[in-house]
Amino acid sequence: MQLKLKRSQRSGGMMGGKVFFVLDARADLATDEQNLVKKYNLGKLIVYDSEARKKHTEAAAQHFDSAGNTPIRGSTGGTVARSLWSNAQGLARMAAASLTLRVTIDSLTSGEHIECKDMNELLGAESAIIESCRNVKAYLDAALTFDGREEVVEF
Amino acid sequence: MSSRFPRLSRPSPFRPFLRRFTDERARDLADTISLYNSVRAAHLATKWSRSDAINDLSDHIAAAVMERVEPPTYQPLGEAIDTCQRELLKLETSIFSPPTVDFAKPLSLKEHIDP
Repeated sequence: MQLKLKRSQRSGGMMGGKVFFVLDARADLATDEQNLVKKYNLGKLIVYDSEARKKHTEAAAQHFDSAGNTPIRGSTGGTVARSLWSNAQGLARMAAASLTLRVTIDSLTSGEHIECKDMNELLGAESAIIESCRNVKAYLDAALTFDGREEVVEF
Repeated sequence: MSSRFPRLSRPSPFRPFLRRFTDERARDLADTISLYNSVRAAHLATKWSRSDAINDLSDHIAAAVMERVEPPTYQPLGEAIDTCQRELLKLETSIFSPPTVDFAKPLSLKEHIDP
């Protein structure tokens, strides 16, 4: 497995006065690794979720929780409306979350282009990507040892 | 309208909208090809890409050496040293020839970075 990381920056914003730090990440898997990733269904493994995504997902869960906590028996029109409103808010948050950044093994092999105004956040994403690739490699290596081999552990 | 200050949150990493529909692999390859073409053009613009560059440099080195030491009087030895020098210079392909990359074959990530 090879991971290519490219750091760059660009100016942006309304007047072009803001700096965006850019990270391009792409992983290349060998053919046997590709087959193993498919076999163990690791393609959907989440490598990195942005803070915005986490926030939206948490908020959506809270809205759905509050909608679900509405008692069915004895509910008035107001509580039903509140429940429906919470569900709508939850759905909106889910939609917002789907527009935010989520890096998976599949998306990493296709290539990811990530930007951020905060360099530390981007460095965090970069280290999460590196760590995940290391973990996937370790997982595949460990999975290959489940081949019927026997071992005696002495204590 | 609320009088509370809005919560300040750190900017979150994002993928620009249009880049969601971009083939990053193809874009990466196009960037590499464009870099390769610019490097190749820059090399071709220098005197090092000329066909007689090795001969010119070899003569220049020989002239510089002869300023300091006496050339060998035995002619075959002088010719052998000259041939040896030219053959050594020919091995410096990174100076005298542009890098050749076959873009028809898929490139590994390492080749993308250091062709």
